[in-house]
Amino acid sequence: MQFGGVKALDGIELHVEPGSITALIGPNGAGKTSAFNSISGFYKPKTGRVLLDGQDITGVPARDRAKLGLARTFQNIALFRGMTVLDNIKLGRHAHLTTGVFDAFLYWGKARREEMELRAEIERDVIDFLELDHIRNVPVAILPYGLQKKVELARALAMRPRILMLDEPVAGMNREETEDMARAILDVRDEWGVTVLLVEHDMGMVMDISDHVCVLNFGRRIAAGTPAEVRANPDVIKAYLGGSGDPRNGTDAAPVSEVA
Amino acid sequence: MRVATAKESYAADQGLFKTDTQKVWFGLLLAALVLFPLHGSNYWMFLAVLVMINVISTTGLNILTGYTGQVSLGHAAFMAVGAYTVAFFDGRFDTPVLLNLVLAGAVAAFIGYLVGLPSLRIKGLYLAIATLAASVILGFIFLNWTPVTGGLRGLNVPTATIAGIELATPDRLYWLVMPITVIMVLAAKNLFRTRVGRAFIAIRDRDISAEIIGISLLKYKLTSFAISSFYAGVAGGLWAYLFRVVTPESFPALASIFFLAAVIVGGAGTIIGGIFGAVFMTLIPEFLKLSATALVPWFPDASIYLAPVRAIIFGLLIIGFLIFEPMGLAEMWRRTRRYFALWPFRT
Amino acid sequence: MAIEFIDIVETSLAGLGTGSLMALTGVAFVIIYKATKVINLAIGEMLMIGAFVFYGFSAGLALPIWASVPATLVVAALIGGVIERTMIRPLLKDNPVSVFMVTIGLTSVLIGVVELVWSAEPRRLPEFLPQQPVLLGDAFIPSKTAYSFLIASAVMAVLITVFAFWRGGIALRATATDRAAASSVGIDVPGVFSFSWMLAATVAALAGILVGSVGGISSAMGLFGLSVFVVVIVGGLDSILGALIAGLFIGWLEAMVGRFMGGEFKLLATFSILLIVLVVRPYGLFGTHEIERL
Repeated sequence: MQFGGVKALDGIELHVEPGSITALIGPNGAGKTSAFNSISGFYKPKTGRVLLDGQDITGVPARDRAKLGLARTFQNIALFRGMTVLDNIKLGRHAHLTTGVFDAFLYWGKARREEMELRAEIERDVIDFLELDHIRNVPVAILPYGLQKKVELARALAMRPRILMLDEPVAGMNREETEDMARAILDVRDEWGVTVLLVEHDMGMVMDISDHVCVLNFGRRIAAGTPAEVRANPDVIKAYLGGSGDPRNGTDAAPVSEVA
Repeated sequence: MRVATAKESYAADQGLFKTDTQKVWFGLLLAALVLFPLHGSNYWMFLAVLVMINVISTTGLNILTGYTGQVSLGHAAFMAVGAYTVAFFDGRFDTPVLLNLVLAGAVAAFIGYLVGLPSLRIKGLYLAIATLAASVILGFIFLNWTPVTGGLRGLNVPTATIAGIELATPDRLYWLVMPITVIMVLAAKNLFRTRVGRAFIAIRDRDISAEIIGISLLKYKLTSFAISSFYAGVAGGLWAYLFRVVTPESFPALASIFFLAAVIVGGAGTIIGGIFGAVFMTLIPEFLKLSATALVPWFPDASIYLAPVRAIIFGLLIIGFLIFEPMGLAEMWRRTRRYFALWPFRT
Repeated sequence: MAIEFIDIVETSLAGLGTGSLMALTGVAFVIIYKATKVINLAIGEMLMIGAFVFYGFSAGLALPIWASVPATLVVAALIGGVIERTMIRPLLKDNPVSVFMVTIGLTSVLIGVVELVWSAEPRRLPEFLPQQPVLLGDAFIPSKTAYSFLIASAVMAVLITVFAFWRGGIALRATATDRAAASSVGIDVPGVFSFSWMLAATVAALAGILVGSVGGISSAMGLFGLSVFVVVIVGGLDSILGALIAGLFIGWLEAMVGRFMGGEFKLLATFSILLIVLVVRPYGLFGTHEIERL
């Protein structure tokens, strides 16, 4: 992954176990979001591959990855500001619906049935689950930050993901909101069996909920393992307390990001 | 006062009308539309037909610009395509009226689709300029493809005839235009209760995340262009039956600005806004005409200032609404309703 | 019909003359775009109002040329400033589409104002350029075309020099690059906005005087703006050099097409080029390609 002459990612290998919560951490500019964007298909890496269940999906455009079960949220909230919470969540299911233009004009038979099923499903699986029922008809633009983040999670869940990618889900939240979100993430994993990959700065939260942590610095992977292992790793401590990234861990292998 | 409405099913919550009051209002509106011709003079009937034609066209542009966020500076050209299509088929082959109108919509939709194609590469205001270019090129075709368009002199349009009845006057044409308008407006409303309409809004609000959710930007932008032009085409076809002649001058560039103004003034991104905008913008010139006539005793030349004053007012309405009430008349209407719904409490 | 070489040369020179005026108007457009990121659809109408104000001073009030030109430029600057302050500034923080549509409304207002004051009749400006035609070798150039080419070139040369070396030019470029950063180093950003609109209105008015002195004035002369639009898209919205080159090219092309294919093909040719450039290279030949970010 390169931007002009800048190598943003170099030889990173990231393996995510199905059903796990994996965290990608590192100082600012370490390449976390670039890695994220490569996996979700927004960037196309120059070298390296993205594998899903052993299948190479590097060439699949972003919008088709949604159908494959990849869903993500964004660092700076990317909700549709002109719509209500409910409509935002419904949009998450877009790729799974089939109503065409003519059915839509009539809103009779197929279109109506599909919309009703969608509504019932979303109410049951997403809105109740994340306790958003009191705001379902509120335009997202007027919601406080924490709730907007939660609506974004809801929209991603509506995509029926197999892999849920969260880009800084608790950034800028207070303690209470963070705990709420952390619980939601754990619930999602436990009840939906979804694999979670997240980027986060909040170390407390990362160490609490992750099964596996991968640490990046200057576009290289400097450590990986369980939270306890990573915490004890001297390179990680160095990276966070200052000093430069240690190139010792750089492998010569082509960068491979592997998911599930 | 009404604080909230309780719904017993999701179907009720997603219905076309959310409250009984809305149903009553809609019933009253339909009744008014049916009863109106009993009292309307020829002038008022003409105006009513013109208003409804503009409602259809404005709704079309609203789908593209208000809901999908793609500014079009060539909407009037698509109306012209519809008008020429009707004039061509009815004049040349004497085909039935309803078929002509569908053809008018279809041909306009096809051309709209073509015009939307650059949206594969360009977006935002660049696309608006591409629509401007397309309308200039269409204007060239109208003027120079004489065997089909009649060149500078244009085409005469036969009287619309349905089941042997000649719809020669506005009060008869009304019964063709009114149902079509009601159907097309309701269809547009329906569109935004489904995934298609939601995808349009998603593209307007944040196109990149729309793509990540699995919405094909190109497909939906083209669909929006086609639907919008279909509405314009049908409106243009009806326009041809009303005015009975189509020339390259029938739909000048100012007409595209007229519809853009109608969308903005009425309220971009709401169906009712398109209706408000079309009615308001169509009636303003008439109102100005009346005022000019009334002023003649004092200012004998009042009528020669009509055109410039109209242009200034169109422009100022666009600017004023964008600055002071960007959500348009629809928002003012919502506030008024809210005021009465919560009366006697202040909001 | 055999096309004579001299005919091609004369048509080309006439085209370059028109092209220099398109380039000048294009520069006015680019100044506004650089400073405020506004795509000003009303640039042709700003040119038109300048030409009419000049008509008002020189024919209406019968002022001599040396007084009516500066007076026109001052009035144009005021109009530009008023437009910026009352219609553009309130919306600059909103999305660019709103501002764009405001400029559409502005076209309608300006046309209406001109027709209200001067009626829709076409008029001629008083003659003020030397009448003696210019001969370049065997090619005959109408004097007005030649002189407007020279004046337009001189003005553009001055503008480019000034922008390169004067502090205000640097402030303009800084504002164009990053408003917040420019403001934090002490640049009066709203001042730059106002200044850019006033300057652009002045330049457009000057172009309007020249265009009007060649072809007469009317409330429809804002159509000239359509060609200017093509010029800035082809050249790149934020490139003064692009406006210059594309202006000369489009002017030349319109003249050739008009001469050898017929006047009705002029707009068709330019707008076809516009469509091609939009699809192949949307940011123009010399414009900055902005990288899209999340």
